[in-house]
Amino acid sequence: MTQDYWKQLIDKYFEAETTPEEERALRGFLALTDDPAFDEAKAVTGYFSAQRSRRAARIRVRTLTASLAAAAAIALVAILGHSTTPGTEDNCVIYAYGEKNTDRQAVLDDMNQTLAELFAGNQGPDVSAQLNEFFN
Amino acid sequence: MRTKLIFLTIALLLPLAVWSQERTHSQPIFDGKIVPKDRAYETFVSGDANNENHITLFHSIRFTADRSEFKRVTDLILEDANDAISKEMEIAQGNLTYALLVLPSSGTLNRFLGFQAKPSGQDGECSAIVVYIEGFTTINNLKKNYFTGK
Repeated sequence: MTQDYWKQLIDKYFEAETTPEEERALRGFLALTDDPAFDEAKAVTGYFSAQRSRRAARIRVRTLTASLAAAAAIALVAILGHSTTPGTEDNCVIYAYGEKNTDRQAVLDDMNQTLAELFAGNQGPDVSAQLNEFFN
Repeated sequence: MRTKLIFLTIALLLPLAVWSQERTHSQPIFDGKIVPKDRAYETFVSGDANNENHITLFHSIRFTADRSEFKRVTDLILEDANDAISKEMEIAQGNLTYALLVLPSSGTLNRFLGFQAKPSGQDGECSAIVVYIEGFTTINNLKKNYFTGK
């Protein structure tokens, strides 16, 4: 390729009419040539290349930032939803030594009995004495 | 830009911190890590099943434990007691036999943890029950609804 070819390609570049392949070829040529006739073109295309790199980096950072923001928002909504929504589904189940029982009334009766035992509190001196035997 | 990334990372991790606080120190008991679940009687009620008492979550686990398991269970309950807003506890010979804890709320939900030890009738073993409750009720209302006056 002659010097005239490259000069025509440079003119085409400044008129924004080059294809991506022609741009790559031109940059490759300018990176290797020492011909002072192309010094000005080298200076300008080098500036645009730097600008493109910085723009690409900014786009990558913006994309990452947007992704992180979206992930944070989703996580926050999911956690808040989990913590404040009182039981989005009804569930009544007993696992008696590995066996499952979903009889709703049986489960509720067991719950009520457990709570009655718990809130009865102090179990009396006989129970305390038996527990003391265990602790000894 | 770096500052923005740092704040966004914190925003992403903060919900995880909030979520982890909702769990209790006693969670391994309910997970069957102290006494295996095939030796336990577990009851779970959630949602509107118990709406009339304003309890949104009830989880209890009963089991019979040896001295080592019992000690591990009570150690975990005592860790939760350290975080409790209020507590009622009974100790016999240096061992926890009863606890009723009001835990820090989770959002608008009040949280409670109960523990009760009972003789099992078997040498070297003790029965126990651990109860976790969430709901819009209060400890006083729970006592009023369930205290049988023994």
